[in-house]
Amino acid sequence: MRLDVRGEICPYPMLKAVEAMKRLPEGEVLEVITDHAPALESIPTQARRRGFSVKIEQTGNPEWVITLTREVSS
Amino acid sequence: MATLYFPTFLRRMTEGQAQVEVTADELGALVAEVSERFPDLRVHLLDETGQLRPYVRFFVNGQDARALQGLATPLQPDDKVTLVPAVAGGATAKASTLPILPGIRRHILYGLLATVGALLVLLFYARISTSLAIFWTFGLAFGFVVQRSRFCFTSAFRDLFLLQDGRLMKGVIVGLAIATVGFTLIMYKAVPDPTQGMAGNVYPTGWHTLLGGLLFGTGMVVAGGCASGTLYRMGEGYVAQWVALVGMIAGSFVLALHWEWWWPNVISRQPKFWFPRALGWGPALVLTLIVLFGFYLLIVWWESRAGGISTWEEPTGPVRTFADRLRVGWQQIFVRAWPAAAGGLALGMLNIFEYLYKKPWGITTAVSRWAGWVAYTLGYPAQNLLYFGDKPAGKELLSHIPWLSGGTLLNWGLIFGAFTAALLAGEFKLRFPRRRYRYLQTFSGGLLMGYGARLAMGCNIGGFFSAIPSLALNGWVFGLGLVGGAWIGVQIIRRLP
Repeated sequence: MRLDVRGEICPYPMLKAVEAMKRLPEGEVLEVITDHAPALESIPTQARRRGFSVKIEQTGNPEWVITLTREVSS
Repeated sequence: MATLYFPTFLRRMTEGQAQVEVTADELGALVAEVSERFPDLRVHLLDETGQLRPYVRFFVNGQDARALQGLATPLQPDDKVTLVPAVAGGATAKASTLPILPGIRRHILYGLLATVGALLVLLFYARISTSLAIFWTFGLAFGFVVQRSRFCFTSAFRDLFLLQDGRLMKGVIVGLAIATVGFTLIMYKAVPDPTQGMAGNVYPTGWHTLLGGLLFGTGMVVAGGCASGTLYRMGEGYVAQWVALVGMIAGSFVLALHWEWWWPNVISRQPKFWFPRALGWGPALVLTLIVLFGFYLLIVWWESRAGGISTWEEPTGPVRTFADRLRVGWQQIFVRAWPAAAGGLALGMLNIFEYLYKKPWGITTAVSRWAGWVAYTLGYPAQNLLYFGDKPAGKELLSHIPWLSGGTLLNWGLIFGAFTAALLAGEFKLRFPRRRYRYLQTFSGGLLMGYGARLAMGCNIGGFFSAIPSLALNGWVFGLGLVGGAWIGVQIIRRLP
């Protein structure tokens, strides 16, 4: 699933990413596209608490793709 | 048909395929074809305008396409094309490849130009008045630090509730603690016997302080930035935050109109409460530090209950040579976010320096003066308002014209410092929210902030970040209001999609 939160003001990028993590179907990967740098600081905490692994790639100036993958729990 | 090979990390966007056959007979057509076929891959290859991203490289039969004919390179049916995004090549490749990428370098050039601009403004003011030049410099430094450490007071308060994340609040407490020590020393020099006077940001304290904090706290969460946050986000290119500043100016003007009631009926009747006077210097200092430490522990406990804090570390790659160390040093200071505690420490120190020079850091007094100046310029006799009455009417109000007051230069320095830092980091971008009502939202938040800050006689900076170190009760009461207001604000933004 892809979530584009470019242009949003604080804290909507984080808020929407958290909402999307809750809704994400099993086995899907969530990609958050953002231009809001503070999201890079707060999303990892939210992701790990919900059992997601985080990968961040810079895809522009400023633009990042945050890839959230649900870790297998068993 | 030519064959395109994908690097491992991109394969999840290509339905797991390591290679695909393409019908395109030219590299440009190949890009279009695979973007069409794998929409997820598109964002990695093309930017918003449909141009190939500068760091994406294609190799045709092992030769860099840029050395051939670029996107016009013809493809033969048995050609092997490899896609190599430079950022993808793992830690080492990333660290060593980034600085030489053209798209990434340009913003550094702009950042250096902005630095030169900041110095020219400094030289200009240095010829008019040393004091104005010094305030401009302080503003630049504050702006640089808040941008680099993403030091957002709103997020510090809000995320305690919204995300159960105290990362920034811990930074705020570090800043308060260091400033408390510095301020105490300065105030002790100025007023050795605390029963004989007062120093620092000590204001009348009462229910108006709490109400001001509540309004300000709600407003900052709704607007997505406090006083300092609004200014630095303006510098980063968040257009909605410019609207928040307009709201703040309007809000402080409304308060100036209401001041005729607030001051005689409420504020002037409230006592000023200064801990050194009540407890003596030593106990006031020690008690403040102990309470700050207590809050720090409380936050650590609160976060731990939710599962702790995680960060994402960008790999640096091997650091061996002098050039490596310079590069990594540059990245740590100018590109990556500073830890919140480092930001708090730097802001606390800067606040001490500014107090040493003249007075503790503040933002909204100047903002309310702009409001008076705008009203005066539009023909409204703002100089007759009691709020502006602490300065003699007319001419003195005009002496606060934006470009000739220290507070203004401090605020514009902050915006410009954040702008420069954002450019150097590659984080500047004009961001327009897609939902139009965000502008109304940030304006309303600004309105509440402007009113609340001037009602309590200080914002999150003057009334909190500089007031708790002043050993003044009003700082704590306003802080309590901020906590309550942030909670209210969180309830509001949760209902605004």
